[in-house]
Amino acid sequence: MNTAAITLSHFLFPRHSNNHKAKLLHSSSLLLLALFLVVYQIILRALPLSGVKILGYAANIPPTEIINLTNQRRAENGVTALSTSALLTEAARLKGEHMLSQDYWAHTAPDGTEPWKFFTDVGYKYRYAGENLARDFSNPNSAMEAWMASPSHRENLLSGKYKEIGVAVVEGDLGGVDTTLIVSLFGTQFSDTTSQVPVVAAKPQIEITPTPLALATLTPTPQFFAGVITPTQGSEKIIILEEPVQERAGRFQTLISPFESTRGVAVATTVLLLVVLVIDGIIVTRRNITRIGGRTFAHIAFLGMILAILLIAKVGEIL
Amino acid sequence: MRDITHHLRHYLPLIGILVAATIGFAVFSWDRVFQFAVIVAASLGYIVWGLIHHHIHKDLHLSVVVEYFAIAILGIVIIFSLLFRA
Repeated sequence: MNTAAITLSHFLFPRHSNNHKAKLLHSSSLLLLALFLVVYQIILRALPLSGVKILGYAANIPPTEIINLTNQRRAENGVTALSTSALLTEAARLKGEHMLSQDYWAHTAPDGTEPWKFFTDVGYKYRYAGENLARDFSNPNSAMEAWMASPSHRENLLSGKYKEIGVAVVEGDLGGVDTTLIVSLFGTQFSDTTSQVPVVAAKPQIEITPTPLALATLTPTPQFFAGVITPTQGSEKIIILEEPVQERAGRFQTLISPFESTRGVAVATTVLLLVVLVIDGIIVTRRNITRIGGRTFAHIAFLGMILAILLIAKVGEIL
Repeated sequence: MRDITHHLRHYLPLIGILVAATIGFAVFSWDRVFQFAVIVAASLGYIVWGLIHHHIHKDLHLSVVVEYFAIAILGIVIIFSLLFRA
């Protein structure tokens, strides 16, 4: 047997040279593996600092699709559809670009800028206001599912007090990683007195009981594109439509993300350990080897849980 | 592996802990901090299970304790790197 095969056997199978336990399963090897994963993450974090741009997760997410899905969910829950607001769309775009330029991922910026500033900056006087954020989702449906799974975001989506919505999808560098941000703003104009819900202070996720209406209607949302609002001399504003996000699909493409590479390395490590553990368990049982050590089945069960979690973990984040 | 059939009662609590953690992780998908807390709790449960199990079988040695800690730490690092990745 050549040296390579002996070395491989030493690491993967129980034998005399490794005290009848695969070297990979020794505590020192396991801790080294953990250290390797830590170093791998440190390298991933350090790459952008050294000027190397790592690929992130950019995706083609049309804002209109987010609005359509929001209204679909509202219809399913007996809540009236939201109408698209040019002002809220512009406010959402400003918020998204502010996050990228100031390099933060939060409702409130590090300099203390709150979400409501973007509402007032575009001239939207709100009675109610809300904000949902999402990042790194590959498609609109998965972002919507994540929001619906979170009680506070779900309340924003299904709240009967909101009449209008504005969504912006912005792509850029966040913390050195290419990122796609979805900013969804909800609001009701101050002049709108039709809301049946008492006035409450605005906050990113407002906890209120949605007001279901007896008749659920799904109003088709017209095609709406991200707009730039240019103040004029009077009080009127001119909306200049930008190039539709869908038509810029060539610029949006799915790239290798830190999430996928991290998951790939983690899954490979876990599967390797599981295979070695199973082989180790079979050989030790067949040879009736008695040794001091943990229970193989317990280790397999624990790593099985880790593998299951790796497989069900989702890429995107919501806030 | 034969321990599975001989000591099924002992393994059921461990399986229960791990299954509950997996379900908790899936259900609270919007709260990463809570998800991580679930994994840390499951890892501690796994270590405690190992200590009790080996203590009952009178084969609790330092190397066994270190082995459970090593696997738990590896699991925590894997999930931490996934949740709070670069």
